[in-house]
Amino acid sequence: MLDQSSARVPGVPSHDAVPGQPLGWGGTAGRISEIFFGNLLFSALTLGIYRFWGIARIRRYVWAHIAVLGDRLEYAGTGGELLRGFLIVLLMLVPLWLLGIAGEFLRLQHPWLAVAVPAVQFAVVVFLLGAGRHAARRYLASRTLWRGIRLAVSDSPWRCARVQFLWFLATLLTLGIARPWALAAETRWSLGRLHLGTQPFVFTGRPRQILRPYLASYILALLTLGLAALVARQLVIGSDAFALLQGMTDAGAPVPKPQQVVLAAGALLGRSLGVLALASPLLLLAWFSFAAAAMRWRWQNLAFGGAGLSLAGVTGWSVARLQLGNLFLLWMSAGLAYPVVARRRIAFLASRLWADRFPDVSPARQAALVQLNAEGLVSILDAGVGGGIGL
Amino acid sequence: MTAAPATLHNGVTAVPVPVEAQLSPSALRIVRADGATETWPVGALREIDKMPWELRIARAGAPQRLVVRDPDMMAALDTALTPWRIDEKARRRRRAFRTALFVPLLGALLWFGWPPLADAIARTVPMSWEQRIGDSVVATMTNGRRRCEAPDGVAALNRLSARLAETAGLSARPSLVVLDSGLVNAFATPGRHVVIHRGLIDQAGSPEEVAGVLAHEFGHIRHRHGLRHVARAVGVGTFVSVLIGGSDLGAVAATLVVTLSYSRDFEAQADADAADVLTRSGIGVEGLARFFERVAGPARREPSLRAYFTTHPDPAERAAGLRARGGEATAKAMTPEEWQALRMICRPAAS
Repeated sequence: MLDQSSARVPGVPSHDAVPGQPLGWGGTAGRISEIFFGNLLFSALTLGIYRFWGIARIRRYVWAHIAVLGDRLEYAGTGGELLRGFLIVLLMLVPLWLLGIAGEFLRLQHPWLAVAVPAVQFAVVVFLLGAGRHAARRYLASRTLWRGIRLAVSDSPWRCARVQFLWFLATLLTLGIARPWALAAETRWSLGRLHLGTQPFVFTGRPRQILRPYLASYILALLTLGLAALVARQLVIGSDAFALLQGMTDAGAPVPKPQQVVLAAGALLGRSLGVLALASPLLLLAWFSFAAAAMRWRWQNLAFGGAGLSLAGVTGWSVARLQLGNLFLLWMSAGLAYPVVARRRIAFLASRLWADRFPDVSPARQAALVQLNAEGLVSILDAGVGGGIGL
Repeated sequence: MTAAPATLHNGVTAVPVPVEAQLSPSALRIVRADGATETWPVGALREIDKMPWELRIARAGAPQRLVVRDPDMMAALDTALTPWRIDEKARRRRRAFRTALFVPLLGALLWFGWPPLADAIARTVPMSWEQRIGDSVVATMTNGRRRCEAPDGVAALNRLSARLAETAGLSARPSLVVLDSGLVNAFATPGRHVVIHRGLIDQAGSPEEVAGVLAHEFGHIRHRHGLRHVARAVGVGTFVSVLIGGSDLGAVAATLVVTLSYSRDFEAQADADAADVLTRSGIGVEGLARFFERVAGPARREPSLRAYFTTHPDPAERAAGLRARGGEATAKAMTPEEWQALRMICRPAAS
C-alpha cells in the first residue's frame, strides 16, 4: 500500500491499487538548521556570493528526504546556475530602473509623469512577476528528478504573464469578485502545466467550485470591515482625542500641550487597536477558511496517471495554525527559524496528501532540459517559489 | 566480486527496473532480468546521495540512477567510490582556496575602486540634468511646508550668500530656501540648492555661525557631493542587493553602513572648503567652530540637534579641526540690522 511515514520507506510495486499517502518526509529540522546556519556563515564570509550554493545545498537535502511513492526526489540544480540566472535577470531589470530615473528627471516639466511612470513600472513588475514565476517553476521542475526522470512545466512564461496580468486587472476592476476565476487560471498555469517527463498532471478545477466559499469569505470580510468602520467612527473619529488632534491643523486654534497630544494619540491608538482586535478574528476566519477551501480544491482536482489526489484534514484552523505559526516563528527569530518553518510546510503537505490509487507512470518519458533560470526575477521582485513549500 | 539486487532508473521511463548489480574492481555490471547488461566503469561512478538504508549512484554524465539497498553492496560501492570522493574533496578545497583569494580582492576592488568610478560617472552628468534632480528633490522635501520669505530677511541672506559664493568661486549663486521648521538642519542638494530650517537660524548665536554653515554647504555644492553621493549609494545599493538578494532589511542596513562612511568623507571635505572660504572672506572660522561646539555640548540633550549630525563626523573634532586650519575674523558676516532681519525671516508679513 501507499502509506508511508517517512522517506525511507522502500518503493512499492506498481500494481498496488490501495489508497494511501504518496508523499513521505524523512528529513529533520536539526539537519536543515545545520545547513542553514552553515550557509549563513559562508554567505557572510563570501560577501553573500555563497548564497546561491547555499540554496542548492538546502534543496538537495530537502529533495533527497522527500519520497514520492517510496522513491526519493533528487535536486540536480547548482549554485552556479542560480547565480547566472540572477545576474541575467538583474540586467533585464536595468531598463525598468532607468525608466524610474528618467521619470524623476522629467516629472518637473511633465507633472503627469509623476503618476504615469510609477504606474507603468508597477504594471511591468506585475507582468514580469507572472513571467518570472512560470519561468522559475519551469527551471525548478527541470532540476527535480524522480526515478531519474525530470519534472517539466510546459508553455511560455510570456503567455502565462499575459493571462495572469489580465486576471490581475480583472480582479482589481471587480474589487476582488473575479478572484476565483483568477485563481483557477493561476492553478491551471502552475499545477495544470506540470509534467513528470512527458506525462502531464491533469487539473480539472473550475472556478464555480470555489465560488461559494469565496463569496462567503468575501461577504464576511466586507461585513466585518463595515462593522469595524462603524465602531471606529464612534470610538475613534467621534472621540475628544481625535477632535483635539484634528484641531491642531486649524489656523488660529490654541496649541495643545505636548502631554495632551501624547495622551490623545495614545487613546486613539488604544481604541484603534481595540477595534482591530475585535475585527481580526472574523477577518482571519474569512481569510483562512477560504485559503483552506482553495487548497483542498486545488489538490482534489489534480490527477496523475489515473490517480486522483486529495487533501484530508485541511481546515481553516489547520491552515491558520500553519501560516500564522510560521509568520510568528519567522518574526520572532528574525528569519532564523526558517529550517523549522520549512519542515512544518513540507510535513503539513506530506501528512495530508492522499492518492485514491497507485498512478500509472509508464507513459512518462524523459523531458528536455530547460536552460534558462528565472528564479532571480522572482527573488529580486520578492515572491517565493520552491514548489509551493517556500524553498 | 560483490553481487546484490538493486533498482535501476533508466533515465528514459519512470518505471523502475529490478536488476542485479555485480561489482568488480574495474566495473559495475548491471544485469536485467531478461539478461541484458550494461557496464559502468568504476572510475565513472558518481554518488548522488547516501542514506543509512540506501545508496543512489549514477554514471558520470548519464541520466541513469542505480538504487542499492543491500548493506554489503553499499559497503563495496562505498569503497569503490573512495577515489572519486577524494577527487571531489580536492576539487572543493581548490574552489575554497580560489574563493578565499577572490572575495578579499573583490571586496578591496569595490571598497577602493567604486568611489572614484562613481565620482567619474557623476561628473559626466550635465549640469542641466543635475539642476532637474535638485529641483525635484527640493520640491519633494519642501512639499507641504511653509517657506520663510520675509523680504528683509531674504535680502540679508542673499547678500551673505553672494559674498560667500563669490569667495568660493562658484560659477552661479546657489538658490536658498528657508523652511518654517524647528529642526536644526541645513543641507545642500544637487543643482545648487541649499535648504535651511528655521531652527538652525534660531539656535545660531551669531550671523557668523550661519555664515559658517552656508560656507560648509557651498563646499558640498562646489564638489557636487549630492550627485556623487547618489551615484555612490546607487552602486552600493545595487551591489548589496545582488549579493544579499532582494531589497530586504539586511540589504538596506548594509548599504547604509557603507554610504555613511562616504557621507563623513564629504563632510570633512566641505569643512576644509568652508575653513578656506571663511578665512578668505574675512568672516573667520570661529563662528562655524562655535556652532559645532554648541551642537556637541548642551545640544546632546536636544534630540532635534542630533538629526543634523547623524551622518557627520564628531562635532567637537570638527570644531578643533576648523580652528587649526582657519584664520581670524577681520570682518562681520552681517550688520546687526541684517542679523535681526534674518532672525525674523519666518515671521508672516503684517497685512
